[in-house]
Amino acid sequence: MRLKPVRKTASLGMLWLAALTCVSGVSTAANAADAASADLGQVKRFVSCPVYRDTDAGRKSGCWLATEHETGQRFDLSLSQNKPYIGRQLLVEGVVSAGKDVCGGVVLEPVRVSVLADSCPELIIPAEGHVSRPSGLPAELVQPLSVPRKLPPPPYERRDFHVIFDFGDDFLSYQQSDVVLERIWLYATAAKAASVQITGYADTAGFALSGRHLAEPAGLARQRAENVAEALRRLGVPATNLRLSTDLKPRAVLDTPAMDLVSKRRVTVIVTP
Amino acid sequence: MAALCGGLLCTTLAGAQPVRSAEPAAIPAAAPASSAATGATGATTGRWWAPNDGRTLPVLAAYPNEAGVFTTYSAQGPVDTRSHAFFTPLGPNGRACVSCHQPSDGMALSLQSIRERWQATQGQDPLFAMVDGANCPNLPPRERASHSLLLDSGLFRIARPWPPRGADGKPIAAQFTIEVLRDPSGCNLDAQHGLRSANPQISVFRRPRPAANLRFVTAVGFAFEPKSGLPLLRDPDTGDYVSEALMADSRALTLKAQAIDAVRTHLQAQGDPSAVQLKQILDFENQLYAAQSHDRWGGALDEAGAAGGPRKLAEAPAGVLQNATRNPIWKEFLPWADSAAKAAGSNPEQQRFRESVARGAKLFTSRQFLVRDTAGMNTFGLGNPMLNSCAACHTTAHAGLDLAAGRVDLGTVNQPFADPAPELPLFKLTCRADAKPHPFIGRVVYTHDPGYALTTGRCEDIGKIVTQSMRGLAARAPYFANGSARDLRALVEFYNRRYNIRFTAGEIDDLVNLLGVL
Repeated sequence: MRLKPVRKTASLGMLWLAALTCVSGVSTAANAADAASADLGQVKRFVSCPVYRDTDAGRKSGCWLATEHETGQRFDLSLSQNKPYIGRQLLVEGVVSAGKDVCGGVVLEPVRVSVLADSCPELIIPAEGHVSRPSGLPAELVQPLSVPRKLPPPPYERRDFHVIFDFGDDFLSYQQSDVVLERIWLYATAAKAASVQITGYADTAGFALSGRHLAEPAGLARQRAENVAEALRRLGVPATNLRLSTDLKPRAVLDTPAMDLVSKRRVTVIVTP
Repeated sequence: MAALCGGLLCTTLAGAQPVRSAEPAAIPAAAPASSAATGATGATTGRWWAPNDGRTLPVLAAYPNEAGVFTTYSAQGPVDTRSHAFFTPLGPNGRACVSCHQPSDGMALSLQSIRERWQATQGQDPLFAMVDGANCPNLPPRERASHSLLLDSGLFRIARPWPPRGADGKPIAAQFTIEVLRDPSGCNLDAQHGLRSANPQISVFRRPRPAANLRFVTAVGFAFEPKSGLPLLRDPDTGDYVSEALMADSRALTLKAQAIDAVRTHLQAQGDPSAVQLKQILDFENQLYAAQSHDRWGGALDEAGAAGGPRKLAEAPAGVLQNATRNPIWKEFLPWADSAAKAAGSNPEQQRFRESVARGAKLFTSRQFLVRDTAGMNTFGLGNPMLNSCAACHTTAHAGLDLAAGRVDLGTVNQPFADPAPELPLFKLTCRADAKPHPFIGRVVYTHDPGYALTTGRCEDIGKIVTQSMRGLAARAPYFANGSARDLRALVEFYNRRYNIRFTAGEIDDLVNLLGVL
């Protein structure tokens, strides 16, 4: 199914113009039509410039918007755990949802954004009556150290864990990566792991999107693996058990919509008792 | 106004703000009125603690300052400072730890005290040791110009090795090159002490940090440090996580390591302090609390429902994350907003001051603004910009530093956010093409102090400085690691300008009054 293009003027290929187009008052009204016409469950992938809408529903509640130039449709990216930077292009990967429009865009959920190196105009627009939504916490959080950890119960067998990264980045995301790393540490400890194999991947083949080709550098696979290894060492996994490798031809390990390509940007940790 | 205020920290007289032109309502002459420690309380003779002073530090030692009274609380009882390692020179230059960590100065060192020592000793106090009490060791001693950074801004020279060295002492391959564009001290281009010397060093200039309330500074709440993305480092002796928050650039991770580093550098000792000396220093530091205890206008800071002062601090739990609704930072002073506090006030000025402090405490968590372009804060997933308050970074309840090793590039040292500082060196750092650049400045950064990047060698860390405890501020001006805020008003105005917060004049007064009672 295809989205109905609403404003052809927004797909001029000039990112700054597209970003500006979406702040007009006209676009707010048009967006209702966008939402109605958007196909629920459709995967959206595009590169664009982010727009920050200065709404206030409490701390960390500002809206993040971006326009897909191919359709001129504006999307609400605010539910991404990692947020964009104004002034930097971003890769959007998400699914059209039925979420209520509180920011002035069709809600993507789940959605993941990656901040790219290329620059954009910095754009902050007023709330224009949009109410936004309060900032929420992820479903699973790393607990304070004061909370005793429970080791996972047996049986102990080979187990695979995946740490997912943003496109082009080796940064271990707050909470998202942390909960996985802690899970690996606890399992390796409980299983008295003989081997912890850490394989860093980078999507060097890449993919075409929004008129450009996006691919990750080969060195990123190693950097990702080393970051995960360092994190596990600091958590308490014996360094002598860690084995590092890289793979530049990753296959997706997630088949949930929009997350297949995302899952190529990962480190896989195999814990073997 | 300045004449009327008599040099006091003045606020405007508009509206409901406290009037500071008259005599304050309640100023204890020496000992805090709230003290209950019979026979163990009082001001020491003279503010300045010279090495080998020989006095006993009482349980409560009170020191008047412009804002009121600052008090140290020695929780384990009076401290006999005779032969005590913290109070005794452990190296050849005559300095002791206490030289730069004065009880009267928030266990740090105020610019006022530095100037008074210069006057009293004609520059011969060990405080002015050429090693770091001068702009560069090769300058003529006892000449004011040789010590201008210390005398004008309260800054000591911190010489960091170049390239940076890891915890194992081995060089780190830095992601950037460094050029000296401006070198008013002459030290960074000096043949013996500079970047191209046989022992290459970068000289940066920083303020001493308080050696009190360290239970809060060393507390660890979570294993992960979100700004780096990694779990915290561990104490090599105990295996426990460390807060990484002790020093401006996280170069020493434990109190023990900091003490050894300080004895070797600032005290110029040839070897390490003995195990006994180290234990004495650490035991002393770990039981010492320090805070403003009285305000000239607000009176005792632990009255009428408020919970200020060092004794309350000693009772407070460490490592607790503030929460704007359930556990707001500076809730110690929120009770002053209500009618009970008004009833307890002895005069209208006192009541108005207390209400102002309470408003400041409320503002600290409630006033939302766009935090942006702040490496370390906007770079771990929260987005740039991010709507938040002062408490976004000042997260540790009761102390005000960031519980998660607040290494952020606030903009005090990196251009273009930093104020012009012609007295400081200016470095040009150029990042390698394969390195992750500074997220908001790019691959070329002009800075007065590379900060945490001098510990890690990473471009993304250029200009990151660790947040510090906010207690006892009134006793230890100037502020920020580079002393760029002369007083509390300048500090608030820096943030107001940096983040375009648009505080009103009254709100600035309220925040200044809050900061003055911490």
